[in-house]
Amino acid sequence: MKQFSIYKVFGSVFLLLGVIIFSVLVDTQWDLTPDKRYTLNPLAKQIVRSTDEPIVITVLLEGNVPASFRNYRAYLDHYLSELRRYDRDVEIVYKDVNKGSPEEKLQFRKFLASRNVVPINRQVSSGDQVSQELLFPYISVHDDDDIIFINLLSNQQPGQSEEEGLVEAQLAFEAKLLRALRQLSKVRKPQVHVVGALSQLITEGYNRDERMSGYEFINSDPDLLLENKDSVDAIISVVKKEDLSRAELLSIDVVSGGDVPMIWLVDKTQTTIDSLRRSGSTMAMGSSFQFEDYLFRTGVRLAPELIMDLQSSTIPQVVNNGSSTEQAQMMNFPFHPLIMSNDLTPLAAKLNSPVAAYFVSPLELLEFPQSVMKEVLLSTSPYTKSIKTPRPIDFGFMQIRPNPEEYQKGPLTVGVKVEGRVKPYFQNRLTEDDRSLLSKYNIPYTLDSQYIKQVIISDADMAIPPRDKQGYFPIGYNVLEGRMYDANAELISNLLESLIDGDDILAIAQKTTSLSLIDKQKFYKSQTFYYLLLLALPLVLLFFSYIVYHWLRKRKYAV
Amino acid sequence: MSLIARDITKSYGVQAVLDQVDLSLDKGEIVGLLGRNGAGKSTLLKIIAGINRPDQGELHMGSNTIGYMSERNPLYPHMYVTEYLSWVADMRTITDRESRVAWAVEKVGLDEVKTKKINQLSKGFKQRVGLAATLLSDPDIIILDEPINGLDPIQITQYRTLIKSIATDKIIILSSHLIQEIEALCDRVLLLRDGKIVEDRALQRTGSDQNHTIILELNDLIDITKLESIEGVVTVSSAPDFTYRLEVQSTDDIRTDVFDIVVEQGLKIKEMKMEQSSLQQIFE
Amino acid sequence: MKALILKEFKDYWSNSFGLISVAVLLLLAFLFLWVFPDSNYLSYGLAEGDLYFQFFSYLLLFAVPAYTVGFLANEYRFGTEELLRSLQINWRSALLAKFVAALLVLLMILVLSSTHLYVIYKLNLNSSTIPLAQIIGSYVGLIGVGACYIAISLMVTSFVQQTTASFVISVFVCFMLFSGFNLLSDLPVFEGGLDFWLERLSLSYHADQIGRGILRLSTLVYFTALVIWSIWLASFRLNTKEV
Repeated sequence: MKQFSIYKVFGSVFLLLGVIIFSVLVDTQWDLTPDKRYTLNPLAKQIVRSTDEPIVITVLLEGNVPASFRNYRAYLDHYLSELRRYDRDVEIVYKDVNKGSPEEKLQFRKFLASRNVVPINRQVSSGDQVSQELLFPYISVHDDDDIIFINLLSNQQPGQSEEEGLVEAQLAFEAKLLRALRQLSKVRKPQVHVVGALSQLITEGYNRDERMSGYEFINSDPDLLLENKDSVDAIISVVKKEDLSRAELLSIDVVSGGDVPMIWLVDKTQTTIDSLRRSGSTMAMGSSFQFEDYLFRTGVRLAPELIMDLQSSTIPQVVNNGSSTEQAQMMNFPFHPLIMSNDLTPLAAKLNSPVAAYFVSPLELLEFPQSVMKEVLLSTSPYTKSIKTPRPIDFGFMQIRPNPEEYQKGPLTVGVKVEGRVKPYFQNRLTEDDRSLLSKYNIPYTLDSQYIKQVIISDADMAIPPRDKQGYFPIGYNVLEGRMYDANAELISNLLESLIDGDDILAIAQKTTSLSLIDKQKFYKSQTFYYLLLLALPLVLLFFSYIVYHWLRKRKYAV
Repeated sequence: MSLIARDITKSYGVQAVLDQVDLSLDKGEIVGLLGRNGAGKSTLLKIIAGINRPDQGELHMGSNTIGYMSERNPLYPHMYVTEYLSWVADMRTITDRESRVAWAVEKVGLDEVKTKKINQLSKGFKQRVGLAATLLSDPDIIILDEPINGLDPIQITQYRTLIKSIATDKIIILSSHLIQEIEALCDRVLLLRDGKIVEDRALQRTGSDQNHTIILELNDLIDITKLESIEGVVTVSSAPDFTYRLEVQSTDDIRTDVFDIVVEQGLKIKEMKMEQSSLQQIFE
Repeated sequence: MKALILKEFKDYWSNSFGLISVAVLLLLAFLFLWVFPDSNYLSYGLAEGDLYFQFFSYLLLFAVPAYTVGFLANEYRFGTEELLRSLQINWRSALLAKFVAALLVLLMILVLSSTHLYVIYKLNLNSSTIPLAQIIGSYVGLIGVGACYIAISLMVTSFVQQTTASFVISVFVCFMLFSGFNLLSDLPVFEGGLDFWLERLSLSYHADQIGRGILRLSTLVYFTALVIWSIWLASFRLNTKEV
């Protein structure tokens, strides 16, 4: 008889542990989800590898989370632990903001508030107790020098349920995290010089905006631009009402010709809703600017026309509905098109809303020069018409229901990316002033061809933080509707990212998911059917097989 | 075919249960293992059946088909009788399962209850189911541990007949703590005491419950042949103190005959007593 | 072996206890996944199988020991362990047969409850295609979790013969394995070091991974190693035990 030996049992436990530990060390995973959502992107690995300092990722979405957050939370856990498995320099910390002594909590919350980290209020049930809890749907990513907070939620769109918003947010998470990691790996934030009209307003607005926090915006002028020629990462030039000065154009030409990407936000016609509302009518005038000539050499022409689009944002209009009372009513205003992004180009893809634009001119793309590649980024809906300027506009047309047959012009291009070789604009045109400006910074004017990478959008207002009597609003806020169009800011930040760092993260942001919501309507509509399927069918099958089994057994052995 | 065990020793912890047990059994024998509770009967049987292994010693068997029915006669209570027997047949990889089961059912007389579940059976029928299961593979050696435990007298008689009917060309070992049982059934008895076999003797097959001894104390010598002439008396032995020992094999009470003979010889009886068989004495 | 497995499986269905416990299990699954507030699919909102798989790995934590313990404890109760011995069945094959039979019961429960997954993916708002690879992977994982529970219950019963006691201890051991290590890993002492390993030693980590459609090498090794070890220990224990 063998003896039961406790030593043998201990030995076997060690062997078991050894096998398990070994398997964890050589672990590999197969992601069986159709969209491979739990697999680290090669880019993620590359970015994590490129960070040389240890990184701490702190999850603030801790403690009791509502049911609808569970999947996201689990996804987050998994993704982060995969990241840690890939690179042991990444540390994951979970911090329950609702835990700790009152002073600690207060201090930490103050710190969060100073970083624009604001909690949301959610009903959480544990057992049979329902309570309101403050959730901080954020994670922070920090190394020794810097801390970046990432909002785990996307801005909820009107008509979107919380669950839908969560699915979208979950989808967007990876790109957000990678952006933050990439930002950490950089020595400094990319510097974006803003030149032209309202540059001070734009710079201040953008630097304040959390959504643009990956960049440092500098209110620039020709001297600043030329002086920092080598540290400029991108240029934004806004043209509205006033043309660029010759010095501005020259400095832009010199710097952007030196492989610095650039965004043009330009208004061809000088019309605003303010002037229209003030006087009831206004003259839509097309101006002729020198920079148009500058753009023309890339094969892009600003048409002296205004787009009217049936897909548009609204303005309040006083309507006489027959009775004596007058009411303000929100009505579609075709001069304010809502522009959908082209999902096929990562550059403008996955914007959370349409881009709200204001008095837009169509861009005409010419066949020449062949050395420049043009890619349409933004276009209107197909239900458009365009009117030639100059032309007077009043609200008269809004009294009549728009006739769809007039709006048949198809999608019109309003944003384009040009990239390629062009002739230097100032070749053979340099004046004495030009030369002295350049010589001041010891810059010779190149006579060879320039390589340019520029985006041209035929609306300035979409990128300008609006203001009214009360003050400034963030970019994308539609004052007339009182509604935020996030896509305006996202577009600018996507464009900057794409132009400076490339499309790789944007491509990740563009991915789709097989993660989907439950169709509750469908469930409630045929609830009985589903209950039958979920409970009655299995039970009937169970009892039926039991009875049949016993009947067969009895027949076999008991007869 | 025979069964030889040598030097079988087994202990649980410090307590020795079997101490160098030797035995040798032959085909056709019904062997009774007699001993008090705790004498090591079950342990020995389990070792022979191959359920437990001895600490030392060896077993030689001329056959490896052993049927064992343990004291508790464990059965799966929720199974039908034939279901259970069919399963045992499957486990013993018996090829002609149906016919073997039918044979065993018939052999042990389970026909009237074969469609019942085991937990609906009386103790007697359960013992039969256990026996049927033991017989299924037609084993050469059958080991029955306390087979009549808990049976009523009628069941016991039936059971004895049953076992006798299957005994030809097999070795049957059964254990009991009841002498009558062993005497009634066995050709040979092994008495186990404190882990040792203290007695190994053959028994006559003619119904051992007729055996008894009459002890007679007289006042003087008597002619032994007179006593031997009494019907049923097998042997007479005498002692110097006029004490006579009569080994009797008879169902009748012959004490009146003995009295008559003694009186006829003009002697007087000081004491006359009847004793159970000698096995009993040893056992006690 | 087949007869042995079949006997064990039939044993389970031989009385109404087995039937009623499975029925109760199905009822519980239905209530938790579709009726009770907060735990149900409608408040979860996503047409994903993970909730189902997670719930079942919890449910089986109680259910599997409840029925598996009987597979061995009844042999003691009816004294039939002697019978098995006398039928020359060694403990290893007896345990394997019980393991497989208990696994068959588990499979039956899972097959009967698979209508949940069908409904979940039918209610998908966007598409009605069923991610088969993901579901099969998750089922493999859930069966692995169940197999661990079964093996552990058999192992515990080999030491503790009394049915109720071995059920309670089995559930306790399974729970410790499921969540215990995980809870330990949350202790501040282990932060940033051992917590990683403690988490990977817990069954819940592996169950959770596989429930969401991630199959890991370490998960497969974990399940297999745990099952083999438990069965080995049980047979080691029973082989060294007198009947």
